[in-house]
Amino acid sequence: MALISPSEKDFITKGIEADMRNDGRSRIAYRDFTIETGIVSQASGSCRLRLSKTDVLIGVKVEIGDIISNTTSDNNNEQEQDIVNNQNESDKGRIVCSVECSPSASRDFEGKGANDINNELSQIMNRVLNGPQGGIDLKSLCIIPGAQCWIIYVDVLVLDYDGNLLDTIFLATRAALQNTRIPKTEIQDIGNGQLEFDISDDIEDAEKIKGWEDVPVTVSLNKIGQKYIVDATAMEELCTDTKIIIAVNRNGEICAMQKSLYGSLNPSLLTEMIRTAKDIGKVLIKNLDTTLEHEQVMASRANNKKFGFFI
Amino acid sequence: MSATTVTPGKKLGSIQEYEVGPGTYMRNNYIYSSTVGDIYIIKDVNKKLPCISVVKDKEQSAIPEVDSIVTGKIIRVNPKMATLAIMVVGNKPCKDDFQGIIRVQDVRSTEKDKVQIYRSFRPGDIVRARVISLGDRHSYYLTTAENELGVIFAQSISGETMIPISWQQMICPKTKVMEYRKCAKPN
Amino acid sequence: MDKRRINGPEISVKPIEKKSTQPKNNKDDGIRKNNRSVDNIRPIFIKPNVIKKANGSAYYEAENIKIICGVYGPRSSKRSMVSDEGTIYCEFKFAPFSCNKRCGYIRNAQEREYSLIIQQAFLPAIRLNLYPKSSIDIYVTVLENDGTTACLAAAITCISIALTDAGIQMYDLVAAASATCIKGNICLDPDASEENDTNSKFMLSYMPSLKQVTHVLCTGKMEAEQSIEAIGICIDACNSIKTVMDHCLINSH
Repeated sequence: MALISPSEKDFITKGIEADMRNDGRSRIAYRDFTIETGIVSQASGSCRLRLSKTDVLIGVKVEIGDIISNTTSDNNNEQEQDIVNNQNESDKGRIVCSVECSPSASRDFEGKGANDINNELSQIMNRVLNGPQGGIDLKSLCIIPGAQCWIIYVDVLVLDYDGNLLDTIFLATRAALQNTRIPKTEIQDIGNGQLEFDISDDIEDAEKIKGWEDVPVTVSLNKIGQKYIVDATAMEELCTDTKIIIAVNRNGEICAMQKSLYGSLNPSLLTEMIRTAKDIGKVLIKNLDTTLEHEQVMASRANNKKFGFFI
Repeated sequence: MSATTVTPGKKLGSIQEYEVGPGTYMRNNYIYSSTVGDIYIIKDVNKKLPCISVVKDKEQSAIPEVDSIVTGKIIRVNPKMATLAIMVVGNKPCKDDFQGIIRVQDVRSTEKDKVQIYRSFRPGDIVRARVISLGDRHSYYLTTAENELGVIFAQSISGETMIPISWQQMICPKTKVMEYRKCAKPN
Repeated sequence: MDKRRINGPEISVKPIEKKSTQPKNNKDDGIRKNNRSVDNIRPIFIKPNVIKKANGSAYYEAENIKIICGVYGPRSSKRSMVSDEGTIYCEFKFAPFSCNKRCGYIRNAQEREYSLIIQQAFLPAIRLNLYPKSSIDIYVTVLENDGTTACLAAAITCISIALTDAGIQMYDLVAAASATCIKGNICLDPDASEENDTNSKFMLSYMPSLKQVTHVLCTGKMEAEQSIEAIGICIDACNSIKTVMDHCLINSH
């Protein structure tokens, strides 16, 4: 378990009260991030995002699956059953997320140590993305109502860790979903009320996911002492006693909110945090979208030549 | 039920009026109650201010603290230590047993290097000991290196309760066989 | 085809499920079903000391929500390392017969997440420095579920009573309230049918005397100002729940 000395903790806390963090940022300043999309050829969409040293790789795969409604109970997949339990309609697809923290990212992630954090992050992602607050139009993922739908599997691999894991994951997820292409399906009626569908093999025919622009990003606010900071580094996270995660979409609506860690906070501070998160979230999404557009432009100019991966 | 029954979080007074006692805590110069119970205000001649405490009727489970006297049963012995299941702390019983160990150097205060655990404790003996420290992951560290600490109850091989005859020996009243134990001074 | 036996049909068809019709709300200005007002919390009954074997316990009932909780501790903890503070371990479970659809007897991911939420809600409230190297074990079973978020809030309230009954010292009682957004209004204590209709769920746990929020959980789309309004409404609800808890503890002391 990572430890921090009391003097270091005191140094960081006093610096934050004076609005000066160890790397010179103010309390509400974000670090710069670099992004690459479309790097994994086998996935329907992918993205790699680096927020300073925190490094996350997301692969999105779309697969055809059965629509599991509330009445059937023969599904053995616990995770999918949980998601379905929260849905009622039989004309929606679903998104299944899983997070894996690679042991090479941090000593804490070795062996069973990562299980808790993997479960927690996967649960948060599933909760935010499945539902109208997740932005994605789940009805558009349905192929044959009551029978078949597209299932979007979002798999996150954490390659390196320097704090603020959840924000990085959501930023990268939004970029990966923008990059994902779903093959076009043609539905044919073969009589007797039965429907069959064909998947088009043409890559050019694949469509973007409807509603990717409304996918929210999270802003993690860490309370240290009596003030709070955004985008904490690993050391600053060790000084935190309360952490609030707020998911914001591009319209400034709150899509999810959750508190973690062991402290408590004043309602007035919580209110202030929500307002700050809303502003920061909107700016983050704007920055991300601009970066993605820029990347598209560069890619089209360079004729899709990709150089090296771990640069 | 009395008029002075309070619940956790109730403001009781300021630190200028009272001293913090068991069942209460101080925050921002005020004293708050931290359990449900009756308020007791005790005036102590040695201290300037009366001590305020909140006492709950129902007995809560006790936990061993450093320097407290504990009573327990020996469950395991090996040449380096004896393992004790702590059942009573002071006068309060524990709902669930804690584990403590008496290391060979903590059995008695003299001739520590010549101690033989099997001649001091046997499994099944009831022992009174004092907590030296919180110990390691599994057990508290205990000591019996005082006159009043040691075996207070033991059964001989024949099943009879033995009587202590010296600080090192106990005798079975039925078979008159003598066994070695580190006995506590009877009071 | 075996002619000696009476054969069943060759094709089996799934039974047709008839969707139950919701009773129309006759009141024109009625936002909620059952003619409840927006700030109405279902009446609460709590009884401590119901499980004799446990150090502390409590039974909570509010119309169709029934929860029982047992607290063991402080006792020696086998799972943690040495620390100068105690640890809290919580197991939250829906009884298999409690929900609309049968839950298994093994905890699923949602129950494990709720256990973690409860642990985090109580960490600021219990005086753990008084119980070094010990563990406080909390076991909650929901016997009847009428609104999952409301059950979680009710469980937190029930656990506060059980912890106090066990004599575990706390800085303050923790009260919790749940809310949802129906037609733009924040409605307190949603039941299962209201929860199924809307998408937004909000839960807040609060220490009323110290005026500190110990946990907040929100899913579903809300405007920032609406969530701030929900926080204020839930805090008022927690203050009223605290009077119920005080009354219950003092009467049974």
